[in-house]
Amino acid sequence: MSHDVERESEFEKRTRALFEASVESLDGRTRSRLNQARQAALAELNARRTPAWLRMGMPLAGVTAAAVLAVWMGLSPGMRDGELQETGWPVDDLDIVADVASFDLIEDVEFYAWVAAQTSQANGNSG
Amino acid sequence: MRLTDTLTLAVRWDEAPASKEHTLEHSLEFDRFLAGVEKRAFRIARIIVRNDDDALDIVQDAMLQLARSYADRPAEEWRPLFYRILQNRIRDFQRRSKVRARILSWFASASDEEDEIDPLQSVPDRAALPPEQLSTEQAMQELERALAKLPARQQQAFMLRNFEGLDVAQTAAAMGCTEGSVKTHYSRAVHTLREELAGFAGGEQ
Repeated sequence: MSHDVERESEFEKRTRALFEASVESLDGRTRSRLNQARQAALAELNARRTPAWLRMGMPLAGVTAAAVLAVWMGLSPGMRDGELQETGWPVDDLDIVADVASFDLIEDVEFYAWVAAQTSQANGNSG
Repeated sequence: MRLTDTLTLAVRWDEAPASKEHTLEHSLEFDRFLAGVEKRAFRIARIIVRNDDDALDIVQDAMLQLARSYADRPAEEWRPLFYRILQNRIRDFQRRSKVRARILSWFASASDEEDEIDPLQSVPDRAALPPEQLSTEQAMQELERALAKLPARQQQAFMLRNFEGLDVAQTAAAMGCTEGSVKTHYSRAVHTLREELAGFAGGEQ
C-alpha cells in the first residue's frame, strides 16, 4: 500500500512539474496579453474607488474655487467693473476656471490671483 | 481661506468613509494576486478550450468579474473565488461552442457529399514512444490529451488540486461541491490518468 502511495505521489509530482514547466514556457505575446488583462482588471477596481462626482467630472471644486476667486478679486483694490478690461484680464476667464475639467487649472488659480494683485499694484503706481 | 483648504472641504463633503476597499495597498495586493495566478489560469483554461485567444478571453473575463464583484472580499478568498469564476466562464464557453458546432453541423451535413480523409490519421501516435524518450513538451501534450478525455468535474478537481495546489476545502469552494466530492473526483482522475499514461513516471505498466 505504501508503495502505491509513493507511486501515486511520484505521478502527481511529475504532472505538477510538467504543468509548471508549461507555465514558465509561455510566449511573450501571451504574457503581454495577460498583463493587459490584469491592467484592465485593476482599472476596473480603481474606477470603483473613484468618487462618483470626480468620475462624472462635476465642477464642484471648480465652482467653489471660482467663487472664492471672484470674491477675492472683488475685494482687491483696483479690480472694479470696467477696470478689469484695462488690466487685460477679461472677466470671461472666470468661466474657464469655473468649468474645470482638469484640476491642474485649479492649481493655477493662486497664480492668476497673484498676477491680478501685481497688475493692480502697477496701476496704482501709475495712476 | 486658502485655496487648498477650500478644495479639501469640497473633497471631504463628498468623500466616502475610508475603508480597506479604497486603499492603494489593497490595489497593490490585488495586483500581486492577479500577477500570481494569471499564467497558471491561462494554462488551465487553455488545456480545456484548446485555443489561446479563447483562453485569454476567459481569463480576462474572470479577472474583471473578480475585480467588479469580489475584490472587497478577504484576500484569502480570492483564489477559490477566482477559480470558481474561471470554471463558470469555461463552462459558458463550452456551452456556446456546442451550440455553435451544432448549428454549423446542420449546414455542413447539407453540403458535404464525400467523406474527407482526416490528415491527422497519418500522424504517428506519439504515445507509442517510451515515456523516457518524450520531451517535456511532448509529455505535457500527452498529459493534456489524457486530461481532455476526463469528465469535466474530474478535470477540474485534478487541475485545481494538482496544478494550482488548492487544498480540498478551497477546491470544494471553487467547484461548488462538497469536500468528499472533491476527493472522489480527484482520486478517479488520478486513477484514469495513470492508466492512460502507462509508463508515465509512476503510472501503471
